[in-house]
Amino acid sequence: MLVVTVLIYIAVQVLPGNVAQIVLGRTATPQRVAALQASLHLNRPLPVRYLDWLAGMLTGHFGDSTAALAQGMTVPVWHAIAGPLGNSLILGGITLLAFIPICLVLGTLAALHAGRAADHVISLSALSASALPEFLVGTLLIVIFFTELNLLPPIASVNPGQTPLSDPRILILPVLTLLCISTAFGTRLLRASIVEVLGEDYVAMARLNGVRESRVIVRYALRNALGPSIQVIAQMIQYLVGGIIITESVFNYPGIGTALVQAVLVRDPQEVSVVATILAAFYIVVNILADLAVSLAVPRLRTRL
Amino acid sequence: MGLLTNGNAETVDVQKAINTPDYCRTDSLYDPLFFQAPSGTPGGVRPGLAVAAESNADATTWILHLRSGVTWHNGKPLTADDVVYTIRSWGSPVSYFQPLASSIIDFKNVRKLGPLTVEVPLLRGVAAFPSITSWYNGYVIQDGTTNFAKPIGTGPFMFKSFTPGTSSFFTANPNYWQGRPYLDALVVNSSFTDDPSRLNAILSGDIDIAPGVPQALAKANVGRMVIGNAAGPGFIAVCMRINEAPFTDLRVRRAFKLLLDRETFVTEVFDGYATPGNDCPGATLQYWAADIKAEYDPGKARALLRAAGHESLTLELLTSPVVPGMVESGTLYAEQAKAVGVTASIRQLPPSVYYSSSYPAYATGQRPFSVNYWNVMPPSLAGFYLEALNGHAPFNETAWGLAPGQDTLFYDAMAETDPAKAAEKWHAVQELQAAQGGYIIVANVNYVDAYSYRVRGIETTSAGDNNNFTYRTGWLA
Repeated sequence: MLVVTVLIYIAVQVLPGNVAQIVLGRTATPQRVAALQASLHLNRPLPVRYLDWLAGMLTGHFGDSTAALAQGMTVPVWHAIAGPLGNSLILGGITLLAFIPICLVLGTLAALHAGRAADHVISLSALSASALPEFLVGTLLIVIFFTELNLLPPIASVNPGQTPLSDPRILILPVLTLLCISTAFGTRLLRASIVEVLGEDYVAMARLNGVRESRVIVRYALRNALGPSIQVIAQMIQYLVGGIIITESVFNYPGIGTALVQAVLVRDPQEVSVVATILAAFYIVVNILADLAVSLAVPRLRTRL
Repeated sequence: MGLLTNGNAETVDVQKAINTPDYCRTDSLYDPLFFQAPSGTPGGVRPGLAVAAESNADATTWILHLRSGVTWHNGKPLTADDVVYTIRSWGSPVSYFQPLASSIIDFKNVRKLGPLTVEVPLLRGVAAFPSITSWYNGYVIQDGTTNFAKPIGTGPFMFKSFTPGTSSFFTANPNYWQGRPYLDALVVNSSFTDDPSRLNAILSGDIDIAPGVPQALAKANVGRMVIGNAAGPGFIAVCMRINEAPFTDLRVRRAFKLLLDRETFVTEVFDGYATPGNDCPGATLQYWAADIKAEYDPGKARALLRAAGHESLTLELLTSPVVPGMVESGTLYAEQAKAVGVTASIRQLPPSVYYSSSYPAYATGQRPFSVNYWNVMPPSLAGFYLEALNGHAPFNETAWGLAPGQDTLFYDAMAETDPAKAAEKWHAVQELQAAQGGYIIVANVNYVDAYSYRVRGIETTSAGDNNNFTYRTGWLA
């Protein structure tokens, strides 16, 4: 995590242009840029700035937006990102809730019909959807559901003081976009593990003993596919951390991805590094939690062989 | 109203307003001494908080007569003290007006002559001084204002809330001196990170106005929303720095102006939302030389280059996608230059650093050959020449006026108060600019805005997008 913070901090600093130059724009003369940089403490050595920033992050002091300071205002970064962070959690949460049953159903169906037409249709269509980038899928969905059918709003605008849940219709297209792209790998992983389980001797045994097929699937196949499922969900969350950034931009959804794009556009080093660190920390925490959950769900992993 | 975001760098501080989201807000909260007016208005402006301005014969001292009965949003009356404070603030290093204003105003000697009368001495004669006061960063603020967290203006709308990079909410000023606006409230949504989503928001009814729309998107949406379109002084130009080789040679400059077919720029780069340039900035403004036409003659260009010893010439053309058409203009220019033996390789810089002091720094010798745009300027030729076309100009992209005597005609024209003589003098200035200047204006670009079908009373004019962000006249059908 420490390495990540160093990388983020350096990456933000080596972006071409700095906030003083960008905010001043055409009115930037070298003297004005230097004066503004000094007032923003951007002229101190990089390691000193990094340590200051790291200390702030560790104690929960996320600092003030540099771009706002450059314009003579004080906008705490936390104040600027708290709302978007909540909105993104809503979008991600709903996507995840829809993702799990879809993958279970499609994965099981594909596995049961492994090698036959239904399997090929599911695997192929999921795979081709996942090969498209988010902005293309999003734009296609807008063309279909707004331009042609006029059923759903193309823009996820949320009025100040409201949450996306005030008008859930705005969530549908962003969620669909994320699902289109992520369903493939979830389905494929589940299909593979279920196919493997179905080939095991104890499943053949159960079937020979006359256990009903539905019971075989639920009790034997799905129970044993739990470990991989947790991995799939963890991977999905990790995908969402990145996928949400582009998807939010397409629909102008007021989440953390849009906030990050805005901050990068104005080269706000404070906000960019804080948001990137939060996303990285989230990614790592999800990874650790998933490993723990798998070892709890699959007793085999807890015993030494 | 929907705008492209400028994130946390957005402001409601008049002195620091720098792009469209800021202008929309500050123009609604505050008033200028003179408003930018559409083309055809003498002087380019109409009275605002000043009812009249008179000068001495050489336009070096101005007396401003202020409007009586104007009140601030907090109930105080407008006084000469407010205007003196405002004008002095233009000279402050924090004001983005400072580079232009400090080149003409003698700040120390600005003084109040009466309760509603102010004297402004200038460093040199500027007959179009009222047009300079209409600049966005020059809108009038209350005496003593240092904090813009809760802005107090005299404008048609009053401040309620503002979140940078997200939105702001203003309500109608019931006591506005030009009458209460028809709209009860103005919401500026500046959360958009791209143009297609802004136009989708108009189609879906989330917003009603999108100021400043790329030409290609406007064309694609004709028939699905109202597209406002008006010729204005904005332009895109290929800029030669005339004090850098090979542009020190006048024959090279002339060849570079002759080699391009400007009609193709209008149709191919700007989808018809433009008119061919004539290398004289300031189309539609008073005294602009509409009669000067640019020639297209690749044969002559080739002959001039041969005479200058540049039968084949290789150079780098800097550009950046700051506004639509900048990269395309560079590419099309390079394409047409090939025909006369000039190889211009395009180098794109990121838009965020294009107008900055990082290497290669804007408006310096580090950029001998580059593409630039102008979409807003004080509404007079003097306004533009003060910004970009004289030896002391803060944005001197073409290095004009650095040679002795190059500015003589300009200073003479700028100080001329007699309209007939001024027209003649400005024509001479522009003939020289067209023949020798470093601007190759590929096209004068129209203002293009998008409106939903229910918007009434707000138009796109030569004064700017949404008639220079005038929303008090609008209503919804």
